[in-house]
Amino acid sequence: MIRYATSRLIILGMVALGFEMTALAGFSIGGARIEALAGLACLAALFARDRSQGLIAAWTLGLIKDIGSLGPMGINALAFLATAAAILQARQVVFREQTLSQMVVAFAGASTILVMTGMAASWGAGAIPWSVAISRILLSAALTAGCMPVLKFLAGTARTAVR
Amino acid sequence: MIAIRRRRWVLLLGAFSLALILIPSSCTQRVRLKLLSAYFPFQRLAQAAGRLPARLFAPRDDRPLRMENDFLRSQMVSLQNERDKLRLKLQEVSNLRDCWKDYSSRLLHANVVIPADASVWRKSLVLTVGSKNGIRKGMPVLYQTHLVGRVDEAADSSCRVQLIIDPGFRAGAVAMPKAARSGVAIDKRQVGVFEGTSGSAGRLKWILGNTPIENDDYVLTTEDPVNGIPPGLILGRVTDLPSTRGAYPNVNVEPVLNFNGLEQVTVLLTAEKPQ
Repeated sequence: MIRYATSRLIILGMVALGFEMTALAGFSIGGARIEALAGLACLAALFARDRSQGLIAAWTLGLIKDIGSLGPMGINALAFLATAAAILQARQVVFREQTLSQMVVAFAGASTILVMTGMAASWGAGAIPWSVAISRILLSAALTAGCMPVLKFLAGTARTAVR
Repeated sequence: MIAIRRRRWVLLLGAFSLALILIPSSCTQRVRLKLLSAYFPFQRLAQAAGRLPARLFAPRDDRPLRMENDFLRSQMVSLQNERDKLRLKLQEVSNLRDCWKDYSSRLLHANVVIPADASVWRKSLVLTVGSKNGIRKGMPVLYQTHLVGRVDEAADSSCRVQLIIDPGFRAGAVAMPKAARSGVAIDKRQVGVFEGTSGSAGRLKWILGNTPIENDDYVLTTEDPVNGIPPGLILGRVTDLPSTRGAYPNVNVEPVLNFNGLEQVTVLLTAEKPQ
């Protein structure tokens, strides 16, 4: 996966949202689950042709996530955008083709997104206990990092299938 | 200048996100529910696919089924007798309800189409009934005598339900001591506030430290006119009660229901009180 088309990645994001709300919700561990859209946003930022493509793709994936959420619209979009901007800065010093690098980026990216959205939920809706928040952030980020090879494979397969 | 040009997209999309956040959730939720309706056929497909292995690998031997059939026949006879008795009681209740003119309600069964929220922090589910069926914001959603949550927003043919474990959920609640089960009245001082924590359990707050509570006590809703939640619905059971209590201890309340496994729920359609 060297380059991607934003429109195809968005279609894959819509499918990922469906999985997150149905199948992946059933496989959650203590409320933590694979953040497929966050993983895709990290891939989008890592393999973007240029800065604008990475930012637009990640922001749109965040907006797709907002569709399925109870909170205010735009929270996930903002978190995805900030994370993508940080990854786009860091990718100059990251060997992005290596699976381990992708997993580390996904762990850091998913953690950042979860911290930001968690703070927003805690501030806007109601307090989330520290024990719940920390365990969920770490576990969800680890699960997302663990499924990065699968996500990259699926993204690559979808790319060739659509083409 | 170059830095601003480089950050043009971040600033533009960030400003747009902030503008979206400032729009009240109720304005965007209807559009989001309409967009989510595109996922409804896939959810049914996923449910059917989930049941497929059980059907394919079901035992071919029909003896257990015959035994079950005989047992159910015998049960049916005793239940028919019970039904006749209950029918008489129902008639009495219906007569009482007709007399209760100020406040009326009816139940509406609904299927759960999307069982989870996209965010790991929020807890909600989407139902197949909407404003066309009389659903309005704030209506309580039940599963038998358990409170599932309340309607957060309703579109034409779907609605989103905020679960009781969502951090934004709050309702008046009371722990039912074991003594109360034998007919002892619950004192008003024992009333607290139940709130979701986004975890698997909720919390009962603002109860006095000397309130008699034990592990496994049920926590029920109390009269809460602001939230429109009827009293006596089960919220969960008390777990991990601390050995030492302060003036206002926080009590862990674990719901009895598995919200991920819900396929059908009931919405309590409450009519507005006459002015």
